[in-house]
Amino acid sequence: MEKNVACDTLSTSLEVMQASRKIEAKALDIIGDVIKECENREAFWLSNSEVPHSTAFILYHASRNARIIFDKMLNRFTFAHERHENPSVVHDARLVFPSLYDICNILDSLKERQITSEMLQFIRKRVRILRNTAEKASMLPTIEEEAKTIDKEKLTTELEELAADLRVNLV
Amino acid sequence: MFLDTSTLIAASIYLTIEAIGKEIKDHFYDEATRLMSIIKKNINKRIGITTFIVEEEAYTVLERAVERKLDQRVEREKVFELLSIAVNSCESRLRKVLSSVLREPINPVEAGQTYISVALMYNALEEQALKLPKPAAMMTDAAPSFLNKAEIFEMYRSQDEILNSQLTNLIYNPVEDSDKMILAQAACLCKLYKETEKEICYFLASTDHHFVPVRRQRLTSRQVTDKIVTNFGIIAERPQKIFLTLRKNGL
Repeated sequence: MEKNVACDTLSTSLEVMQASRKIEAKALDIIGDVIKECENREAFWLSNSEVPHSTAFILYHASRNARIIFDKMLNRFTFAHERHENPSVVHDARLVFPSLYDICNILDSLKERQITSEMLQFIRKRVRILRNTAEKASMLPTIEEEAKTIDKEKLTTELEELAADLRVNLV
Repeated sequence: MFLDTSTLIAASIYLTIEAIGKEIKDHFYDEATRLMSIIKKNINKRIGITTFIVEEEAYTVLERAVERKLDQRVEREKVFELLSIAVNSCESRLRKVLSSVLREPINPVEAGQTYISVALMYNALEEQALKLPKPAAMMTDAAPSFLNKAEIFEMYRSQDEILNSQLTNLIYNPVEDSDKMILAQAACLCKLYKETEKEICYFLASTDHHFVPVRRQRLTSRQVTDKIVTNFGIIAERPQKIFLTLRKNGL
């Protein structure tokens, strides 16, 4: 299994910051490295044509959720002094970190494996747990933050189609 | 009041994009949200209930919709990110909705026994639907001779169709086992509540036609809904109707 070097470094850094009750300057770079690892995971599942769309989407969705939560963490660390969130941001990061670490490790372990429907169900549940934990720790971006860089018209179309499909299949 | 999957989903499909000033919502979003507002306002009274199966079913329904979307030919780069945001948006809302309702534990043996009664009820209703009389022809014959018989027949026929639509819907859209189990669980809880509370009005909030009446052109078809009342003491209604009833009763 691939080792999450950046995640391990961040884990150590969070422990040090928690003990010293101070944000280390290098923490931003470390979170930046973790985000890059997540982006690589997203790209892997986007381009992996060996698995069907529905399987790739669940793994992409999990990778993307981990990445956006790390993005939010980076944002909060960046402005922690300004917002007087030092050291509470470290405490919040430590709350959500175990779920993030788990999901990153699970996703990496699946790269070389035959993926079953049970595994996918497990991933879906882990993503929900991750988002719940992140929300409690104020590390979950809002939908507006998530949708900041995307084409709003296309997002509208996707959700409209999804809503129409749900209605047809529910009634 | 027991909330079924369709009501939970209806209250969860909503997205507002401020940048383009657009709002996307489920057809039943407004009425489901109105009902949720009463549940939230009376949160200490624990009037909104559901079960683990309904919760799981709601998430599964969303997942299946995404899978159907992905079954079509899609360009991953274009669709994955958008769908991921849409899923996050719906699931976040669903989680908020679920945080206002009480999740009741269910005795599986009791639910299994009640499921059999539910399945038998739907079987009998399906048989009834297959043997429905066609009174339009008889009523047309009885109409005065100076009237246009073809027009009269069409009028009676469309009335027949509407008045029997809840029954005939069972033939064209058979009730899924998961929905039968949801009704069985709602019935178990209804029985339990009626044993412990003296006077109770127990609703099933849904938008599914195999539970709630079909209303079209001022006509109502409610054979299935009435049978649910008779057999299980549950009033199955649309969120809007329940909202109005609760408001009338000062909630």
